[in-house]
Amino acid sequence: MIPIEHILLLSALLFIIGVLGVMLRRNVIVMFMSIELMLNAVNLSFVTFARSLDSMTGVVFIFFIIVVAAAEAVVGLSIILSIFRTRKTLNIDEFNLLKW
Amino acid sequence: MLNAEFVAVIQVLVYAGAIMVLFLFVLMLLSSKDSEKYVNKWSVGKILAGLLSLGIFIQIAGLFTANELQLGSKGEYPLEVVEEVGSITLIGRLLFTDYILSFEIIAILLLVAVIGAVVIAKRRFQ
Amino acid sequence: MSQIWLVPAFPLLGFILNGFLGKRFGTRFVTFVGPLAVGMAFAQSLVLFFQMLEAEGNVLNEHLYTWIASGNFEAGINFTVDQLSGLYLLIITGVGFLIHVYSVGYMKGESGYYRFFAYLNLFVFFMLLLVLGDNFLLMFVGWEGVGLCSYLLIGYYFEKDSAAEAAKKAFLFNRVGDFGVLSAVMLIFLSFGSIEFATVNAEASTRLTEGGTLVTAITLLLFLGATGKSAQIPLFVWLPDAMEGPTPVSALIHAATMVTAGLYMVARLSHLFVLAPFTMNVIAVVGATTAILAATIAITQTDIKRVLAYSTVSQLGYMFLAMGVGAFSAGVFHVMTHAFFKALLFLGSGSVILAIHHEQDMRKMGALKNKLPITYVTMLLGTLAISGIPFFSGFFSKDEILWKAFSSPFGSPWLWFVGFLTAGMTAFYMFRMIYLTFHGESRVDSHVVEHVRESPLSITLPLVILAALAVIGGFFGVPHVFHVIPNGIEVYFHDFFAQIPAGHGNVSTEWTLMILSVIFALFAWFMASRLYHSGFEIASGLRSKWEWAYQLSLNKWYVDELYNSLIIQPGRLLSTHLLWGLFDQNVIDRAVNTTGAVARLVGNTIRPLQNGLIQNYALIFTLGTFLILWYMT
Repeated sequence: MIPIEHILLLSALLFIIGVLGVMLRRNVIVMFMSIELMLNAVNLSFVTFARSLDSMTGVVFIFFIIVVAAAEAVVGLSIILSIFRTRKTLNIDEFNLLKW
Repeated sequence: MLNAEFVAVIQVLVYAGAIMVLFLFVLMLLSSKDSEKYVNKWSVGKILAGLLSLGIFIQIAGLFTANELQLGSKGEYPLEVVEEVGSITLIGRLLFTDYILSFEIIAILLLVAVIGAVVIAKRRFQ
Repeated sequence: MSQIWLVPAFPLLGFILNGFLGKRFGTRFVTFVGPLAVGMAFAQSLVLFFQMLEAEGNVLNEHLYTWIASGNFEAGINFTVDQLSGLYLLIITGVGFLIHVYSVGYMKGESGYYRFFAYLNLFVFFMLLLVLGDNFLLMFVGWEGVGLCSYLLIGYYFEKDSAAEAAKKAFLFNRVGDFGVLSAVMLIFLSFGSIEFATVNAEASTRLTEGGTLVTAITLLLFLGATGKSAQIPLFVWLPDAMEGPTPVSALIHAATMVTAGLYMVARLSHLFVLAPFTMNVIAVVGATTAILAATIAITQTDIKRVLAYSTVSQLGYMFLAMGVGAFSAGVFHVMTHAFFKALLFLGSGSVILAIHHEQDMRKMGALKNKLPITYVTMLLGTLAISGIPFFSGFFSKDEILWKAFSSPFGSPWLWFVGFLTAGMTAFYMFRMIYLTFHGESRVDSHVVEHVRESPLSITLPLVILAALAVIGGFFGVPHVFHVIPNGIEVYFHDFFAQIPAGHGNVSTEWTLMILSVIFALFAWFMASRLYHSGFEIASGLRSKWEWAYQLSLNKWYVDELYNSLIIQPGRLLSTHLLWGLFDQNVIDRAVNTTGAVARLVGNTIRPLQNGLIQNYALIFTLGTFLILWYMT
C-alpha cells in the first residue's frame, strides 16, 4: 500500500507541470493540452482522497470533471479554429484583443 | 490499489479516445507552418513563472505532507463494500439517486457545448 | 389681530408678478401692479400705525416662523411695529408709493420698464423687512437686500460703463460697512446670548459696563456699518456716483429710505449707544464733519443731481450729529422731514431733466420757471424747507438738532458752530441750484428749448403732495420754545429712546441761536441770488480769486483719489504680485498640475498590466494563487 502522500505529491507535480505549460508555451494547442493535464492532476487527487475517506462522492465528482473537460475542449478548439481562419497563426501572442 | 478501475477505464476511453482524436482532427485542419518557431521573448516572465510555480508546488506539497493530514469525516463505502459490490454499481447508484440533478445539468452542458462548437466554427457563407 | 406680514408681502408679490410676468403682460400690467403693491402696503401701514398707538406699550408683535433654533440660540422671523418702525413704515410706504406713481410717468417708454418696477418693489420689500424685524438677523437680511437692490437699480442702465462701475462701487463700500455690522452682531451675541432688539435694549445697562471697551467696540462697529449704508465719512464716496441710476431711484433709495437705514439702526439701539460716550462723540464728530465737507463740495457742482447727492450726504451728517448728541427723536424727526423735501427735490430735478431731454448739467439750464411752473414752485418750496426758512419743515427739525448739539451733555458749542455753518452753506448751494436752473437766461440747447413743456400729471401730482408735506410736515415736531403746540415727535416717542442727562442752556440761548441761524440762512439766500441770478458769469469772476478752493471743492477734496492711492493700488499690487503671482500660480496651480501628472503617471504604470497577452494574465493568476496560498498557510 503506497502512502497517499506520494500519490498526492504526484498529483501536485502534474498540476504544476500543467501550469508551467500554460505560462511558457506559445502554441495554443500545447496550452490546451496543458490545461487538460491540470484537470487530470486534480482527478488523481480526488480519487486518492475518495479512497482514503472511504467515500464514493469523490469518484462521482471525477465524472463531472471529465465531462466538463470534454465540453471545454470542444468549445475551445472550435474557437481556436475560428480565430485561426483570420490570423493564420497559432502563436498566442497574436491573440491579444482581450484588452478593451 | 485505489480500487478505482472504472475511473481508469473511463479516463482512457474519454481522453485517449475522444479528446485526443479531437485534437488530432483540429491539428489536421490547422495547417500551420511548422517552421515558425514560437519563441517566448520575455525572459523575466520565464523566470518569474518558474519561481512562482516552484513556490506553489512547495506550498501544496507542504499542505499534502503535513504531519497530521486533516481529513474530513469518513464516508460509508469502505474497501470491503467496494470490493464486494463493485465500483461500477456504486457509482451508478450514486449518480442516479443522490447526484441526479448534477447529472442532468451535465447532460445539458454537453448539449450546449456541442451546439456552441458548431456555431463558432461554422464558416460564414457569403 | 394685527397682520404685520401683509406689509412686506404686498411689495414682494409685486416683485414676483412684475419680475416674472411683467415682460409678457406688458406696460399696463406693470403700471397697475407696481404702484398698487406699495399703495396697499401703505394702507396696511396706516392701519397698523393706529393699531400700534392703541396697543399696550405701543408695540405690536407678530411671530411668523422660527428660522434658526440651535441649542440656546433662537432667531425667528418676527415682526415688530413700535413707534420707531411705525414711523419708518409710513415714510417708506408713503413716499415709496408717491415715487412709484412718479416713475410711471418718468420711465415711460424705457425698455426694461417691468424690470425697474420689479426691482423697486423688491427694494421696498427689503426695506420693510429691515425696519420690521425684531432681531439683528432679520434686519441684516433687509440690510443686505437693500444693498443688493441699490446695486441693481444704480446699474439699471447696465450697458453704460459708468453706471456699472457706480453700482459696483456702491455695493463694495456697503460691504465694508456690513463687515462692521456682522462683527458687532457676533459680539452682541457673545455678550447677551440673544440677538433680539428688545433683549439687547433692556439688558444693555446690566450686562455691559458703561464706557467699557466691549460696548465701545460694539457700537463703533455698528457705526461703521451705518457709515457704509448712510454714506458718512469714510464710506460716503459711493453716493454721488450712485446718481447714475434713474432719478426715481435716487429719490427713493438715496434720499428717503436706504440711506436712513444706518440711522434706523443707531436709533433702534439707542440704549446701547448711550453706554458708550466715546462712540457718541465719534458719531457726532463724524456726522458734523461729513455735513460740512459735503456742503463745501456741493457749492461747485454743476450736475443737478450731484448737488442733491452731496446735499443728502450733508443732511445725513446732520442726522448722525443728532444721534451722536443723544437727540434721537430729533434725528428721526429730521429723517422724516428730509424724506419729504429731499424726495421732492430729486423728483423735481427729474421733472426738469425729463423736460429738457435728459440733460443734467446746470450749465445748460436756465429760465425754466415759466415753462415748468409746477416744478418750479414745488422745488422752490423744497428748497425753502431744506434751507431752514422758518415754518417750513426743515426749519423745525434742523433747529432742534442744532439746539441739542449745543446744549446736550454729549454736545459742544463747536458742534453747533459746524452745524450752523453747514446750514448756511446748504441754503447757499440750494438756492444757487434754483437760480441756475430756473432763473436768468436760457442756456438750454436751442433745438430742445422749443419742446420744453411741463411734465404730465403722474409726475406733477407726487411733486405737489410732497411739497405739501414739506411745508406742513414740520408742525409735527414744533420745539417747546414756541409754546404753541406740544412737540408732537417727543410726545410720540416718549420713553422709547434711552434717556440722557438733561442738557445745559436756557430758553433765551435757544432763541438766540435760532434767530442767528435764520439770519445766516437768509443771508446765504441773498448771496446766492446776487451771485447766480443771471447765470455763472458773476460767480466765475469770484472763482478766479479762489481757484485753489474751487478746485478742491470741485474735485471732491480728492477723496476718491486718496482712496485709490492708499487702498486700491496697494491692494491691486498685492493681489497681482503676491496673491496671484506667488500663491495662485505656484501653490495652487502646482498642486493641480501635480495631481494630474500623478494620475497620468499611475495610469502609465498600470496600463501595461492589461496588454491582452493571455500568458501574462496566466502569470498574474499564478501570482495571485501563490499569494493566497501563502496567506492561508
